[in-house]
Amino acid sequence: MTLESLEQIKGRAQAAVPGAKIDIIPNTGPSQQSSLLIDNEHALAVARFLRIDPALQLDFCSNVTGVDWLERTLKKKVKVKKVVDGEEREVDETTEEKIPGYLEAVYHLYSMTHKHGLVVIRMRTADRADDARLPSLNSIWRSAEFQEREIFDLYGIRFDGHPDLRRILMWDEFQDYPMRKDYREPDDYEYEPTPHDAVLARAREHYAPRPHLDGAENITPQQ
Amino acid sequence: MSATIQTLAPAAEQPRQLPPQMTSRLEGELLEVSMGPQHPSTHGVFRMNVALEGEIVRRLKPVFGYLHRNHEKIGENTSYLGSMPYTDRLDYFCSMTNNWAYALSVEKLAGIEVPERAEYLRVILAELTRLQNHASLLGFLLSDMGAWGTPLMYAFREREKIFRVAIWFAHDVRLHAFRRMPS
Repeated sequence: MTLESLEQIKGRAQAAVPGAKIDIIPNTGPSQQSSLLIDNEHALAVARFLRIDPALQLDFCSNVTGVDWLERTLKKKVKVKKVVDGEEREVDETTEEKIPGYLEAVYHLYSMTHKHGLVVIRMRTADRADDARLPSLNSIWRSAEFQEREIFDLYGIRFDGHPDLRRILMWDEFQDYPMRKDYREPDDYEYEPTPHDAVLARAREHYAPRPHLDGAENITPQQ
Repeated sequence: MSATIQTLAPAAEQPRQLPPQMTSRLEGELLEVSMGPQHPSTHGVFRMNVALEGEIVRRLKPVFGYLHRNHEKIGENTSYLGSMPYTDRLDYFCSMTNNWAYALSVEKLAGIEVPERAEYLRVILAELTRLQNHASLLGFLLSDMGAWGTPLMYAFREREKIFRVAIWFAHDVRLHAFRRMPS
């Protein structure tokens, strides 16, 4: 059974889940792998539709991953008619649009029953805050449990409804989220046992200051 | 440990029917054991928190992260070609097929088509990798089941023969960096 186009899936999902807001995120690159952006409020219902709909039956969630989008500015060139020196002219004007940062969780879905795929769905958080939240799709696809834990661990998205949301790769006491784009790793000056050059300069900043000399160096042996 | 994983969810507590001469002090109770991270049966550092009832595993929680090699983060700081050798190490018994998977995704991302000759070579190498991987699997499986040493040596002897062939194509014997065309 061939897979429907994303537009068809979107239309049927919106008909099946009233109030659901689904956008198609186009991929203009060579892979042409476009995806569906589903809203957080109806995410569970849409995901359940994708799983149980007889024509889709996307029963296999092969991969879940996170994406960190920093705040960025889109520059657009627009031709504007302006009156310059009493004469109407077309002038290029650049408009800047600020897009606030957000985090995404991306799910790759296949159907084992119909042997088709891939359908990519994604969810977006409101912002990049430390307690950014998304609904967990673990109850729809059981394989998402560990991977949602991994996203929580590395990107800091909290999944509501996840049965066991703990750090999975980093240790429990770890504070930051290492895969976020603004993460800076701690100054690792100890990786060389005998530091030299640049590493030595960095290591020196961490050394304890030498104690003040107490005058013992002035004592000379008595003849 | 000849335990079988019965269920991941906590099972309903049912008293086991033991013959009258076999009485267990732990009957009906669960014994929690932290198995690993260093354990001869795990082939790597991996911990399992298991709840045992006798020899039956009632609950199991895996604990990862003891050997996280951080390929994603390394990949942020290197080029697409530079990530290629790291994909060998994901599974060192299947290095060629891991290379292939990575190469396919990069090609898809960049819209690159490889020549037909390369496709043939890839299939041949993937099949050779599969053969030696299965040979190793049988060797290690028998080794874990108690047939120490000898079957593993047989498997590795066959594996060496396959590498003799693979070395015509690839430069390194175990960890190949072949999918990358040197520029």
